[in-house]
Formats: sequence, structure tokens, C-alpha cells
Amino acid sequence: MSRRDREGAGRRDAGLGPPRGVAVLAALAVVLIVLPLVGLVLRAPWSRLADLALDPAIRTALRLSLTASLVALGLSVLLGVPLAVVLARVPFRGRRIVRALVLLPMVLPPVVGGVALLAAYGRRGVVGGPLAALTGVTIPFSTAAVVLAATFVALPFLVVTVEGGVRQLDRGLEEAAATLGASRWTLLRRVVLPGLAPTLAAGAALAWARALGEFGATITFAGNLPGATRTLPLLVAVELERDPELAFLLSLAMLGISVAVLALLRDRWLGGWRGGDADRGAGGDA
Amino acid sequence: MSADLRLEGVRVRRGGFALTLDLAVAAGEVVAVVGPNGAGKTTLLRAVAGLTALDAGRVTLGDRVLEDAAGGVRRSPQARRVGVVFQDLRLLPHLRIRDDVAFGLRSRGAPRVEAAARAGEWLARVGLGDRGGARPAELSGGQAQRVALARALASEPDLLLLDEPLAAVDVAARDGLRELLRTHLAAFPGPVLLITHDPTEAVALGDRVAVVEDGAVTQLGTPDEVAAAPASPWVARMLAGG
Repeated sequence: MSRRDREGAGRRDAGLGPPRGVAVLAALAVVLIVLPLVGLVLRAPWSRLADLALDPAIRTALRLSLTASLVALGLSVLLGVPLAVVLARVPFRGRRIVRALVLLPMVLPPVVGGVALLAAYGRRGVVGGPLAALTGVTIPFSTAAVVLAATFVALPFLVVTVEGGVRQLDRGLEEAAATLGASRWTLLRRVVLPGLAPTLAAGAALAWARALGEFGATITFAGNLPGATRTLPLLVAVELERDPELAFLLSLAMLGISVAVLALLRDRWLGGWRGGDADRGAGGDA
Repeated sequence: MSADLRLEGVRVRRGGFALTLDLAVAAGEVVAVVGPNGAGKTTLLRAVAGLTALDAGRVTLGDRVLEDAAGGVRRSPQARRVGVVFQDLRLLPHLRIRDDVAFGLRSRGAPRVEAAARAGEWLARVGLGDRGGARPAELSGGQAQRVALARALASEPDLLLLDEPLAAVDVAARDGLRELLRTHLAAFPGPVLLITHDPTEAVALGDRVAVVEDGAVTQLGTPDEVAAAPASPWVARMLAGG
């Protein structure tokens, strides 16, 4: 094999590229991902596209999905940015453990997340029990549960992205602002957060996409109640048995949303799309 | 109120390197600190600005103690009322330069309109009155350097620190900027520490010149004294070459 490679190598072959078999496997990987998506595009009933806007069940699920995922995104930003700043900037004992715990939902099976949420906030849960006894409020199988489940799975994406962004900030700018008399709050508001804007946008897009697509934790913890907890992904699962064409159509719509999110992230992950860093803002140094 | 800057027994360790010095700068005086790269000049500036802690010694400004290692006093950079022109300028990339120049005034509580007016005046004084809406990335090196100077002066600090204020500027723009700098340094009521690696510049801009080598002052005198009898072979070589 290696002998044949050497003999067959052209003059410009530096002999450093991967062996040919790697390219074959790489192509197979692309096929594995792309083929189902192509299948979806081909099988989807494009003539029924208007149903997306007209069908009442779809409209209800869409509204719920948008509302719940945006509230989850808001909670993730509100709590996740402070956590990212603390993890990146404040050295404390157990920081690595806290980070690992917070990122756990990224690798946890969503259904396990749902069961854990039930264990905490369920009618007889650690928090849910006393809450129900004191106030009569129960969280599971409500829209609040949808939001909670979505936040549980989305928050880590925001934290991990923004923490990386905080670590890459130029601390020299903060030093300069401090000599100009900027208080800690002013530093955060007028120097750190503006510097974080690009990573925050990327983290928010990831978190929102994750919240919008959430299925396992939602159906476990919030159930599948039309109008209250039946989000788009849950509706897809329902329609797949009732009206598979419609399930394809809904999936197509969500694929479109995912592509849009990816387009938002293009500078971050698809560097080559528009000439790499060309449209990234220039730094502060002259 | 203008007050003298006094560094007494100041010592800053960084890795295997230590800066040790005593230095007094009178109000209205410019002391040019000159030395080869790695001599500890920027460490000195950071220590006075409060960005690097002292290992020993005191820094006082008039009767205000900025830092006293033995007494456990360490005022934050915010509380020192110091204007700094950093070597890499550190203009805030997301702000228009008029907002950057107004930043210090706003941080110290000036109303928006007043801060904007004063920032506009300072930009005009450094010859950039019509560029207030620009962002740092749109400026030349010389223009950015002028903004950094205007920003440091705009909040009327008690003390001015400049790190290589001509380094980012190409030779063609250097003479004009040196003149501008001389004008503003002469008008500044407080003490000024100006750091440079270029003895010609130190002699041109300083009322006194402090030569720092390997973390210690090896000569301190008027520009004429230092130029006439450089104590350090490095200074002699650099002045002869210039």
C-alpha cells in the first residue's frame, strides 16, 4: 500500500495528505447526514405548504413552540451570561465541577432530563411537593414545564459559547476603561457586553435552536397536551401516525429554521463562506 | 489641584525580573523614562496606574496615598484619577471616537450633553474635530494616537502616563504629533510620566530624563545633562545613532 502510494505519487505530492481511504469515509459521512435531509425535501408535500400557516393545530403548536422557546432563550441569556462571566473570570474552588455539572444536559439523554425535572418539580418532587402543598401550584404538564424543560437543555449551549467568548476578550480594553474611572458595572455594560455581542448572538442562536427542537424532556416532564404543552416536535410525532404527509411538511419547516440558524452562525463555524474573517469587525489597535 | 507624584522604594517583581526605584515628578513636570525593551518601563507605568500591584514601597500623589505595600493600601485604577495613553492605545472598538473620549467623563458622572461637548472640544484640540463619528478601525495610526491622548486628557486627570506615545505613528506624521504632544504636556498641570525606548524622544519631550535599565534608574538628569554625559553606553549609542 505505502509502496504503491510512493510510486504513484505525482511530483507535487508532498506525501503529507491523508491516505485515500480517509476521503472515502469522509464522503460517506457527508452522505449519511445529507441523504435523509434530501429525502425529506423530496418527500415533503410542497403543495400543502399553505397548511403551515392555516391548519389550526399547526398554528397552535407553532405559537406555543415560539413562545416557549423564546422565553427559554430569555431565561438562558439572563442566567447564562452571568454564569459564563463567573466561570470565565472568577476563580473559585470547584469551578471545574460546576462547569461540568452545568454542561451535563448537553450529553444527558433528554428523557433522563425530563425524569430528573419530574423528580425535582413533580407533584411529589423535591421542590414540587412543598410548592404544591403551600401554594397549590403544580408545574408538570403545564406550559411552564415546557419552558423549564427547554431552558434545561438550552442553557448549557449558551453558557459554553459565551464563556469561550469572555475568555477571548481583550482585557487591555477593560484596563483602559478602569483607568478612565469605569465602575465594575460600567465595565460590564459598556466594555464586556459589547465585546461579547458576536459570541452572545452565536450562543443565543444555538440555545434557541436547541429549545425549539426539544422533545424528550418535554414529553416526559410536560406531556403532550394540545394547546398547553404540544410543541411542534411533539406535533410531528403525533402527525406521523395520523397524517404522515403533514409530519413531513412540519419537519421541512423545522429544517428551514435550522438552516437559518446555521446561516446566522456562518462566521463562527463556516469560516470559508464569505472569505473567512473579512466581515468580522477590526480590533481596537491602530 | 495639582500635586507631586512620589515613588518611594517601589519594587515590583514579575517572574525573574524586578523593578526597583525611587522617583519624584513635580506637578507640571514631564519626566521621560527611557530604556531598552524589557527594562521595566511598562511595568512602572502599570504600577503607578494601579494595574499591577507593588511588592514593596509607596506611591503618593500630593497627600493622597495611591498605594502603600507595607500599609496594605491599594487604590483601584478607577480611584487614582490617572490618564493613561497605552502603547497599544486600547481605543474601544465598538464606540465612535467622540463617545470614547467622553467615556471617562461619563464614568465619573458628567451628564451626557456636557460630556459630549467636552469630548468634542478635546477632539478639536488634537485636530480631529470633524472625525467624532468615526470608529477606531477607520483611523490612521497617527489619528488613533491623537484620540488616545484626547481621551486620557478629557477627564482632567491628576496624573498623566504615556507609554510610547509616538510608537504607533509613521515617520511622516511623527513631527506633527511630537509638537502636539509637547503643547499638551506643557499645558497639563499635573505630573507626567512619559515612557519611551528612544533617547532622542526622551531628550526632546522630557523636562527631566530617567534612564531605566534592568529594572533600576541608572541616570536621572535634565536632557542636557543626559545628552552631554550619558552614563549608560546604551544611551550614548542611541543618541549618537539618532
